[in-house]
Amino acid sequence: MKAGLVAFALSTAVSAIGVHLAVIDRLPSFIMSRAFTGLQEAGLPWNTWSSAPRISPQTQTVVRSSPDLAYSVCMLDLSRGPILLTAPMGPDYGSLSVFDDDTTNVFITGVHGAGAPVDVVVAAPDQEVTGVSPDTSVVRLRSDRGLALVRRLAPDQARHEAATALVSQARCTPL
Amino acid sequence: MRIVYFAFAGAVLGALAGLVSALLLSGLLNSGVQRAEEVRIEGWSSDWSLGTEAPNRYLKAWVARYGLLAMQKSEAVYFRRLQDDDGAPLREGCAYEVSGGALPAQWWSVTLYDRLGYLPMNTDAHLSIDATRAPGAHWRFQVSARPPEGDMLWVSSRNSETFDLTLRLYQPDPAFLAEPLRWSGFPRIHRLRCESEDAS
Repeated sequence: MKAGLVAFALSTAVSAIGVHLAVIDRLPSFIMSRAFTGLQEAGLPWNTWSSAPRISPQTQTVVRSSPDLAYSVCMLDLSRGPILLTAPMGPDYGSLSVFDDDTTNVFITGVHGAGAPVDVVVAAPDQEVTGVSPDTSVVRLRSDRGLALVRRLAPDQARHEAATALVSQARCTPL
Repeated sequence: MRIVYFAFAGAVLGALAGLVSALLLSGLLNSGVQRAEEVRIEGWSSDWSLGTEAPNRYLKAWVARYGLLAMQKSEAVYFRRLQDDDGAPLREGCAYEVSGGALPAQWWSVTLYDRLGYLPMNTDAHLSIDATRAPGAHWRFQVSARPPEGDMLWVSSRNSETFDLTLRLYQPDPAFLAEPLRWSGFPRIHRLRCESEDAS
């Protein structure tokens, strides 16, 4: 009986700790995977910039989305090689962010003001990146999936349309 | 053989406990793990761990749940306010005046969210106020379920029941990020009236 209780206590502790850590560590990837699924179900293709409709109570899909920003998103699939991201500069505040498949923000830069479009190459850990200029940033993801997001200041309809129009000048394509 | 049954029962119980505790601490079953570093300025609170590198595994899971795709802190910080200046919960049945001045950032906005974190389901198209609409050293706007009289700026609380106001500071000043508690002058929330007072 005593040996049984010891086995019970030990297996409970080991199992509890193991499952607890496994669940906690996998939750961010799980949540990001659900985000990918939601975007795919909304019809967004991989490796293509897509503009979200202006945020409103009727169009919101995630908590605390900002109605003052215009969002453009590109789901990154690096399975066939690195991806080149470009984002033109805009007159108002804007940023380009790249996220890993576990939600980590691995890169961010401003895309506002004067100047040439921002170029970023996104690659998986073992992928070779060649033929890019020294000025181009190279971002390594921990896997072959990730997400790029551009936010631009767009507190009214006119600015939202102007921000959305910039997407036609952006690229999210295989290198 | 009996010992195997004990071990199996323990493993099942442990797995269940591990799963539930992980979901509780990450916030999938409740409001989540205690925030690691709260910064509170004049009633506005912020989790200063959001947007930083290498948070612990619990905070990382919590951020994935409540702040998915949040920006790095150098780009934006978020403050939330659930109570007015008298400490009463913000609610749809009351009207409030929010006033403030210059804030330590290139651009700011104040947005109203319901208790679940979503924009309230109304068609008023007055969801937030930002620095482009409230420029200058002194600004104010009204939060209420109905539009204010005159030309006062307005954020609609219609269909929100209870709500919070979220202040976003975009490209915050580095000095502010370094020592946020030295800053004062965050927006004030003065309760103007409540429906029960209107009726009396």
